[in-house]
Amino acid sequence: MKWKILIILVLSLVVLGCGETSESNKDVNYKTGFVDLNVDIFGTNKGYQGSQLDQRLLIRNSLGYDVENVQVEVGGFDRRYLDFFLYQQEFSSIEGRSVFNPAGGRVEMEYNVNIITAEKGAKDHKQKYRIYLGYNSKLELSDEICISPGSYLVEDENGCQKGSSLKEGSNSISSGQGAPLGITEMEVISKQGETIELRMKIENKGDGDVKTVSLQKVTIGGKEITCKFRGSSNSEVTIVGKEGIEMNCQGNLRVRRSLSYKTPLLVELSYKYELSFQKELIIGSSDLIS
Amino acid sequence: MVDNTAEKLDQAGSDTKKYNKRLYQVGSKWYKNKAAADKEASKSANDNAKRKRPIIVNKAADDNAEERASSQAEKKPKKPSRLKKYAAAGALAAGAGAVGSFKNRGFFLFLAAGIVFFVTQFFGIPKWYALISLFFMIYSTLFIFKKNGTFAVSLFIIWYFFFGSANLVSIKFYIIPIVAGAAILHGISSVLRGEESFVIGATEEMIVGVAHILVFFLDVGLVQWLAQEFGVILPTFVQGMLNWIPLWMFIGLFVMFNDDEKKTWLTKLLALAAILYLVAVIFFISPDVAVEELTALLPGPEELVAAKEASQKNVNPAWITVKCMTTDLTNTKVCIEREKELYIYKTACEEKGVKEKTEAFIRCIEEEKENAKNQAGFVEGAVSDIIKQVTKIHFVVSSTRITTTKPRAFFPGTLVIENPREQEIKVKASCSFKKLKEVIPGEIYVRSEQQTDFVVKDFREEIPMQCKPTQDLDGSYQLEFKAELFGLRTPSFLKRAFFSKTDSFDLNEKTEDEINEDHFRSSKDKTSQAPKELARINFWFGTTEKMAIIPNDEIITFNSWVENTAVSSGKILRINGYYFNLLEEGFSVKSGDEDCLQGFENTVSETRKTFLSSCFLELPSELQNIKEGRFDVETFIAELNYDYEIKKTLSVTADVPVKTEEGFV
Repeated sequence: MKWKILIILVLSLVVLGCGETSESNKDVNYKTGFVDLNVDIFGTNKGYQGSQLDQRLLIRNSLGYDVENVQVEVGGFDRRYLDFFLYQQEFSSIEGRSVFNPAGGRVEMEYNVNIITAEKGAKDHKQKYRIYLGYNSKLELSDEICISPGSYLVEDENGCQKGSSLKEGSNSISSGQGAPLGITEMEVISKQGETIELRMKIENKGDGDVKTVSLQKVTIGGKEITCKFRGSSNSEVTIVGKEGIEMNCQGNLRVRRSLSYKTPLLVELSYKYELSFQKELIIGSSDLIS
Repeated sequence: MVDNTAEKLDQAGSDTKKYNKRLYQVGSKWYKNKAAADKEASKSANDNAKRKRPIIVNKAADDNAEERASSQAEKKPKKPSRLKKYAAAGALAAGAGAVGSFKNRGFFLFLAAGIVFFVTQFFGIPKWYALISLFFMIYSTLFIFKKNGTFAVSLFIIWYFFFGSANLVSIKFYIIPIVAGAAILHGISSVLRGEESFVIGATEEMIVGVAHILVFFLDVGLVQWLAQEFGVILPTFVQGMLNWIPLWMFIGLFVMFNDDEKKTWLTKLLALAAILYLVAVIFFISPDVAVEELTALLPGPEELVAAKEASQKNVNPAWITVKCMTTDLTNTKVCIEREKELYIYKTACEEKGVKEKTEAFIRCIEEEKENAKNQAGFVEGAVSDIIKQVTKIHFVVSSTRITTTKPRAFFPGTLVIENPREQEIKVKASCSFKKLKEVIPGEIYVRSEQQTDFVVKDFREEIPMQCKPTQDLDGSYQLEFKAELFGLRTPSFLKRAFFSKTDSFDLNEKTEDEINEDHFRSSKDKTSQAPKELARINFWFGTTEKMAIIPNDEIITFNSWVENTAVSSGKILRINGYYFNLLEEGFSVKSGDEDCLQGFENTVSETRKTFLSSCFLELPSELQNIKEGRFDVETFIAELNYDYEIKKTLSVTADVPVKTEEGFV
């Protein structure tokens, strides 16, 4: 009897274990989350007067989009002690993560640090410098929006089913769009199914700085609507820090319906972004230097 | 007999409250009924006599106590006032309490150490203060801690007082065996006497012994000595506590409040006063920061005491607080600051030999105030943590007090030069003997040859020298060893960051944050730094002294000073040259002193700081064109080339025997 129970238990475990389809078989959405370029630096971090330290910089693109015009620059170092050879380099593009390249593209660069001075009689001391990494990229928000014909939002089985799409009122879009900045909030205001107004908040959730954000296009049901950044007449704005910026879009709806319905929304923005990393080197004791 | 008397004294002292109450009752009855009062008075007197008996008579005289008591009662006025009765009772109780306080084991130490402290506050610390501290240490181990720690303290005294100094680093090689040996001895002694186990005996010996040795060192001024000799920077709080808290007194206080100890009104009152004093000192010492290292000879007790005395040349925070609270209650804080400053000026004038309460003294105070005002605008510099190769030059003498019977003895001294950067230092040595206005020149002998000038190039040199007077000495003199050092060089460093200011406040702020995070994490990073040598250049440039980040569109000011960092042991003779590498880096003088970045200065101020130069600078073009959002950082160097004079003074006494017909006396 005991053996039977044991066999049943083992079989149950096997059946349960094989019951779920594996995650890898599902479609992965790479344009989600808030992600940055990943940077790793390899090389010796201690040197003495006159020595040259070779450093290797590896940049991996974890964004859901390609990055272009990638500029790497070394700066912010004390010129009395350090000098850099090949401290500026450009890459035309790095491929983003996609079904064809799930890990994202990567590039490498090498640069050399020369320790030009070590004070006589000085002990080991640290010197810091910065690596600036600038690039251009874009972000897309692709979702469905719920349009209700009445004065009040009606959730019915036609369109505005609960939790299925961006509805009238304030919507939090916390998951991001696969870039360091993203649209984090959206307020949908539909005026009796005839016109629609979208209020969006764009925030920088990455470690770097957004130099500029430009509006590419916003479409509802394939129809472009007009948008502008709040407090600016330009289609390009600068975001400093983590404050974020708001964008307002307004448009007429093509079809008037008696029931609520869903329609596709697409927001496309491009931006220039810059990351900076602090790096540290140790200048060794100059005891043996005359 | 003595013990019995003492027990009775204790009884009298501890029962004060009950006794007073009883006396009051007696007094009340006397007023209610005269006859009854007479009777009561007689009874009361008898009681008094019985109670007083232990104080005024010994046991041998006790037999006549009844008679004397009644006769005392008869002698009493018929209507004694209530006030007198209470006064008599109070005095009796007070006296009994005061005498009873000595039964408390900590009381004597508390009282004696307290008296010594207050006396030294008024009359200065004597050279033999270490002997007083030694006495307290011995007394404490013998009578307070029941002979625990006695072995350790005894061995320590033999080692320290009879065998002299040891190297600070090697001190552990002496102290550890001393304590271990003492612990073993105490452990064995405990077992042999059957009092306690070996482990308990040894442990008690170790704890009490080490604690006493530590307190002794702290009390005679070890910490102050370390601060003065090695520049060990102590938190102001710690330094203040060690300066103004009499350690042995507070050990006595803690013992006094042990549960087993007898407490009287006197112990309580004195303890309260001591605690209030402690609170006053703690409350008015401002906190600060610390650290550094050391290696050298452990000083003799006199040297430690001298260090403590020198360190106490500061105003006692508790004194001035009390003074200001009584004289200027409305503005106590300002008063304290004013008193502190006044004390510093007064001390400086006294050190100059100006007599107090004279016009010259008032003038001197005014001059000191003026100097302080001028110094306030001076650039502060800091000691560099990075440069570990520091040039150190000082005299070492085996004793600060030498007595000889020869009129022309050779007095030894050693000039120690640590020259890790292997500079070529020219030295001119000399010596003299001073007694009031009399100055007797001395001859310097270096390595057995009369020689005054020599050159040092090596990493470290110890130059033993001897000073011989050119005339016969008679009596006490101040022997002054002097060395003039030529061509010393000390570098200084200053870091500055430059950035391109934009219209965006946020972007500017972000860049400044990055710069501060990478390069100016502490305020020291913003000031010029130099190794801790005899003198250094302090300099800054930018918009203000503390602004290390310079926007590239600003007019920048440059200022520099020379600081004599070892002002207590010597002076700068001349500045042969100074140099800042800013010219080399493309900076140019826009206006101000032409020789702002390079020059020499013949006149050097006697004060700690000498102003060097000031001008406005123009940035090099590359710094004017920094890319937006980027910054440049550079450490600039300065070098001071100077001549310096160091001195070391010691007391010498030529006690020359007088030749008579019967021989030498």
